[in-house]
Amino acid sequence: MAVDPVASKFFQKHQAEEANAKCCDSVGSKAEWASVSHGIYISIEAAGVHRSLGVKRSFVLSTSLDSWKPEHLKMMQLGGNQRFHDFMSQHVPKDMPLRQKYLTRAAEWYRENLRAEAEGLEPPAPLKPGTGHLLLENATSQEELLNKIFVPNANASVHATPQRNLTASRSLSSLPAR
Amino acid sequence: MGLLFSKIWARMVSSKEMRILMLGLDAAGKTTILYRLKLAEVVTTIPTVGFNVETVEYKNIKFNVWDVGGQDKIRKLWRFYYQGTDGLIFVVDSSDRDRINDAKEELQHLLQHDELRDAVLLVLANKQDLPYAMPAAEIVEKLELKHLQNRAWYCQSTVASTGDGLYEGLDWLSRTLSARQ
Repeated sequence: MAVDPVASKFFQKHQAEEANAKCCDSVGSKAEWASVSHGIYISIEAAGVHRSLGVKRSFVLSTSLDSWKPEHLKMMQLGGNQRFHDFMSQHVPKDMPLRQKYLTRAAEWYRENLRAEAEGLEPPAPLKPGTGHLLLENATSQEELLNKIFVPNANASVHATPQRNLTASRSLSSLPAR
Repeated sequence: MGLLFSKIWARMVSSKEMRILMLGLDAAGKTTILYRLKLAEVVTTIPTVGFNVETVEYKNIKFNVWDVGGQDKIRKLWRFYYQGTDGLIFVVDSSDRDRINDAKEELQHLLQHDELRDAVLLVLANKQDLPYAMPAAEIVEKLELKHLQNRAWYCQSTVASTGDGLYEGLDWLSRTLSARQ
């Protein structure tokens, strides 16, 4: 598989930083995926949760299996796990379930601000103090369903949850039997 | 006479098998659709690095559904799965306006392959529950489906997490594929 040389060089350097080397959501082991919207590195298990938020809230790419556009690399460069962590810990309780954390006003503000920085646009209006932990108003009943299905606790490994978890993707090296 | 009758009977009751290949960009919802059909429930999924395959029985047809990962670099491996495909399901994230053009290019590209010449095409305009999702008519237009020649195609709007629209899609596949035999 062809490797994107610019991206792979960037990740090699950026993920040498300790905070970027492990999953920002503390789920799973290797941080080989990224939520471009938040500029963070995450594990494949956390990537599953992020993808359930929809592409408008969390656009997920693999650091090795996807091609990267310069604007997406810029989001990563400006972001990083430490910055996200520092911001969120000011606004959102530590024990908030993983999926809900990304449905808060604080997370929404963070991704809007990061995008504005990356694109050189006006930043969003400042977050009102004490409102960051509130859930977004446009979260629908569908969201509640997904919250129940996806990992309820950021500290628990995805595999430890009683829900059915699909990790049975087969290796690429075995081609379909005819 | 008895033999003839048993042959006819066997033909009537035995289920046909269809090979279905399910493709689409990453995070379109392919794996969620596969397991919604197989298990009739929503499951948590992680990105598919490789493929999943399941047999789904519906209306006396066994659909062997191949769900292949959609990451950019995995798309180059899609062609190894084309051979013998009766029906192609192409899944689109209807809320992803930024990449609908990428989806069009991938679809138009793969339809040019000779091995998929006879495959019927079912497009699933998925994630219709998300705000500002493009309706099926807009997906038809953006994917330029009306320009396709010599291709049976249908576009169905779906919500994989609730199952809405999935069986309507399978109904079209079974009708269209049965009519061909």
